[in-house]
Amino acid sequence: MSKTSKFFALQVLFPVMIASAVSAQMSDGSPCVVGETVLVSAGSGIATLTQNADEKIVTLTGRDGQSVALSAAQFAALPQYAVANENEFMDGLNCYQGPLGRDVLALIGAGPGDTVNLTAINDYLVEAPAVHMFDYDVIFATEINGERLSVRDKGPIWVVYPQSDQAELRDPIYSTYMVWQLSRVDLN
Amino acid sequence: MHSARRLSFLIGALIFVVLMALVIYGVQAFQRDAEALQTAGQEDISWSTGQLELELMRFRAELWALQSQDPTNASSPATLNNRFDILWSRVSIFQRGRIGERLMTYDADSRVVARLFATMQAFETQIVTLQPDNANSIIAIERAFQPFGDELREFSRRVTLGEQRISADIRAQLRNGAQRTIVILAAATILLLIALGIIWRDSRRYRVLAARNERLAEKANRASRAKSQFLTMMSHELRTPMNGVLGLLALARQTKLTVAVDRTLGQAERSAKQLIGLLTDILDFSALQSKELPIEKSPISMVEFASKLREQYDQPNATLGVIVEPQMPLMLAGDEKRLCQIFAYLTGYLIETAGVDNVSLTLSHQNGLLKGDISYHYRGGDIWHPDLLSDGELQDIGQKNNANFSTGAVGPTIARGLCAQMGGQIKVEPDEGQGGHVVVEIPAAIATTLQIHVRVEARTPVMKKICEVALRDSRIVVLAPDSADHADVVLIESTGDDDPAQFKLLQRANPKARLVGLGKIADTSLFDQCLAHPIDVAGLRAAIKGILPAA
Repeated sequence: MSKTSKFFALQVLFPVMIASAVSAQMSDGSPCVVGETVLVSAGSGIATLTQNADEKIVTLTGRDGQSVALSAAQFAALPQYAVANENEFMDGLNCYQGPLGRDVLALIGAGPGDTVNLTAINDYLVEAPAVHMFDYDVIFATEINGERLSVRDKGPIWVVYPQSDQAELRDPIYSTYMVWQLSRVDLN
Repeated sequence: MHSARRLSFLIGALIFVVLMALVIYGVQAFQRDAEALQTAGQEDISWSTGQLELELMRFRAELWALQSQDPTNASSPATLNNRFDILWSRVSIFQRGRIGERLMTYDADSRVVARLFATMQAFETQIVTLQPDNANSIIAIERAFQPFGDELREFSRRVTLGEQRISADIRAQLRNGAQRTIVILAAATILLLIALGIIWRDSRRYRVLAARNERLAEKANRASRAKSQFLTMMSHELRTPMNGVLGLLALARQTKLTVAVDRTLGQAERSAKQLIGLLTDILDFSALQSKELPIEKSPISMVEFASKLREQYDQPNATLGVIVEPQMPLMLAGDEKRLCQIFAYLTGYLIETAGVDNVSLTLSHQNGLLKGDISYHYRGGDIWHPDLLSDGELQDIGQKNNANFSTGAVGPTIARGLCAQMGGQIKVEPDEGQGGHVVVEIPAAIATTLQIHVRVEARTPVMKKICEVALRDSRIVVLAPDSADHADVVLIESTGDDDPAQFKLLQRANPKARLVGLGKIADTSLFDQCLAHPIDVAGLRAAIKGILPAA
């Protein structure tokens, strides 16, 4: 890389990228309401443990070991919620949208007493108590501020705990459960 | 003593200032510790650099695997692109949020992450379209990304060391904070002990002073009591022979004397009376000073009270007009003797000392107060300045005017003392040039008017006269001979041969009456009480008044 291109990358591109990231926050037309979990759509009800030919974004495995992979369309067919949240990984308050964690866990028959393994596409794995999903409105976010989450931006699924609404969730331990690039959910 | 108090104050102020400084310092230290704890509670960021380094290695491994001839290790462009996206997402961690800010503080000098991102952007198109057979491009990309491996390792080491240093700093800060807290607590405890010591020392000093003052006060009280007792004793001892002198003078004046001798004896008698009056004043003054003058509360007939005031007013060249306002209650509760003294002293002082005449007294009762308005006019000469009647403690009079405390001041002083002891006050209203008003106000409740109805069955004029004298009281109503009202007491002059049938008639006519026999009584069983000859007027009055509370 030449000196000019290095200068361009360091002095121009990087700040512009940071600025664009900062500006990507809640807009006036956002469905989010601070302090509330807003139901955006009730879902079409097609999200069942059935296979189809679309590209899969996440694989769910039940206690009996039976797995099913869900496409983005199947995931979007679950009831969609919007939560305004602020965390250590993003700038300011952002609007996260996706199905509730308890609705996803319900697909594999998980209850509040269970634990689930959440695995990212880089094989990061964390064992999370399912009760978190039942006690709090944890979102399996697929969109941020109306934009679909890409792999480059913690997508396609990011487990987001409502840290803004619940002070006790601001402890760093809960940040470890906020798995991004989620690819597998296994019921233990 | 003054310098000791000043020193205590200065030490107290210094302790207060130091304690305040300690409190401020402690609060600031606590805030710093709280911030340190908050920092310690932040998420560990070392993993971010480690993951970035790892994902770069994985990307480079996928890059090499893409051109591998070994089918087991072969990769695909899609897998490589996926790795590139994951690497991209790890770089983006550095660009957002509080974690990104913290990470970038470690990369401010080398800017390795920014350069890596710039390289990724520069090769993005090549990587996205890269095919396994494009060996030159793979080599070019590998050469571009290869230097970042070592740099990221160094960056990871910096971040790890930096975080460890921060943790060590926080631990040291918390340790220092705990030590500071101990020092502050120790200093505050020492200062508080010093303050307690000062307070204890001052308290001890004040206790000693209080005890000394108490002893002095007791000594002064004892001296005052001794003085009062001496005055009382001397006045009493002087009054006894003076009464003897007066008696003898009265006896001497009852003999046949020449006009000149009678006048001389008369003057001697007046002087003796004045001397007795003066002795009485001294007794009262002494009793007031020692607060031993008893104040009674008994029903007073205000009409009789006014008559007594007029009778007692003994001034050769002046008269005292006493007016009782029509709204005045018939009876008030108070000490008749002391009230008479107050008005006698005040009017006497006005006449004798202040040089006024035409003194008149108007008695009224308003809002629970007996009000005596003394109105006077100047006889001539200087305008009177009634300092002796103004407010102040009785003891003050003797002290303030010690130099010119004349005998004339005794009267008003005693009047003021009596008035104060009864809870009242004397007000001297503004002088109008020709005279003015002195108003006495003394709390006096309206007394319940208890009256007793007496029927007199006298047979001789002498007994009738005795009864008239004995029954001269506003609370006693003597029934007319033909009155049909029931009597509470029937006074019957006995003939010594009383007819029992006549008594039965009297008892039937006055069933609740007490029958009091007067004179020569043959059968005492006919009467409730008997008073034999000679009839004692005081005894008769006592017999009737004894029934009053039950009437």
